Amino acid sequence: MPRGHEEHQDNVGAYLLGALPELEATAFEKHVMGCADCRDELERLRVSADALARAVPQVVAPGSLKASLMDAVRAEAPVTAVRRFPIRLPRIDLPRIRPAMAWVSAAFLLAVGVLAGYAGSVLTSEDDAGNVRTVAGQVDAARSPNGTATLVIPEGEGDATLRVNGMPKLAKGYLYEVWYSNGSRNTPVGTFTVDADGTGVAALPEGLEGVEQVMVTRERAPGVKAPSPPGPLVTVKT
Amino acid sequence: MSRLTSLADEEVMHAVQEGDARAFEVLYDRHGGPSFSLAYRMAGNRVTAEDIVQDAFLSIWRSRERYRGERGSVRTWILGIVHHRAIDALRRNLVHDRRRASSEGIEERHEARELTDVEAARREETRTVRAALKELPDDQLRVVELAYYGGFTHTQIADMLDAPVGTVKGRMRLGLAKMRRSLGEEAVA
Repeated sequence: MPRGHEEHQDNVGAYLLGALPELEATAFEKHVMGCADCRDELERLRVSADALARAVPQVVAPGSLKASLMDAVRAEAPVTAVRRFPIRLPRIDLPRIRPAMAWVSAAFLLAVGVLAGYAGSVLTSEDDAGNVRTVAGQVDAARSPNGTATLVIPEGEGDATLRVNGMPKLAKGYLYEVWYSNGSRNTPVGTFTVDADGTGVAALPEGLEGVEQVMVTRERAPGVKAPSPPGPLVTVKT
Repeated sequence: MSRLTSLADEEVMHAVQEGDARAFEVLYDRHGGPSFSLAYRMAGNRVTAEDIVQDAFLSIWRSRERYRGERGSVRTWILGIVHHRAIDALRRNLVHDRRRASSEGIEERHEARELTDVEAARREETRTVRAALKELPDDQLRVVELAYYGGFTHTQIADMLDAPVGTVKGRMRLGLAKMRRSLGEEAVA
């Protein structure tokens, strides 16, 4: 039994009710970490203390409280959060690809499209300042004849974004799922939807280190463990 | 939003942890009312109660990654944070003209909406806890209310009641233990 057990044992009720001053509460918490008896008593009586919050008369919170709270939360919400649910992010302006590169891109795109049945290319470009790298992806032309995909990777801090255009409209209940692939393993990252033009933008969290490919599949629900047949609609090599 | 509203609290909380503001809104819709009610009970006025709830929920949003499901329900976690924030406000003397540890004068109002199963269960739960409180001897009930709803420390309560600190602490512990027996093993988590 740790030293001072009896004294601390008397504090269990006061601690749970929030009646211990800060220093005493800290000392009690330290004691509990090494005292199984106090820990058991604490957990047993915690149920009573927690229940007290539910015994109060219910009053209606003013609507203005929610409005001001949500204003603050939305202002702080990360744009690059992992999306578990269908979310259409606002359009972003991609950095312009240099005109000369665009010609090369178009020619290469055509060649790849003819030879491999895919639209898109693995062309990489940088913006004028060298702050972002833009990688064109491959889109399955059989399923999305007009589809294009572009991965924008910031060179410094910040998360990559995947932008798609001309994608097939999703049937009700379906969504697009983004995957990270390292060659042997595919990891679902999040989902997104597209607008009437087939345009959508997905924020890609946690960086692309170790990721060989970013893929997009069409899924019936989020949370699937492996890409559903017929496989990726979009593939972008990082 | 409709998908989110159909999820259990713990699943909504996972989305909140990923920074989803819409999930946080669902969380507030579910627990903002009970939180405000607790804050109002402790502060005794609407303005301070609003400050407490705003402060608590912003804290929840900003420290959302700290939530651990195995430590209890989302609701208990949220109400615990609101309680701590309310105590902080009371002890900083931000509430000057408040009623403490008394429910007299508080108007109980429920939203005029259809009673859902969840709301019905919560009201039943409230009745159960109130019944457990009523079974406490007066001296135990007094110290439990002064501490939990009034935000007073054990030494302040001892001064107010002109009783030894040890006696006050003992009554708190006995009161919670008796409540625990009344609530039984099926006590709400």
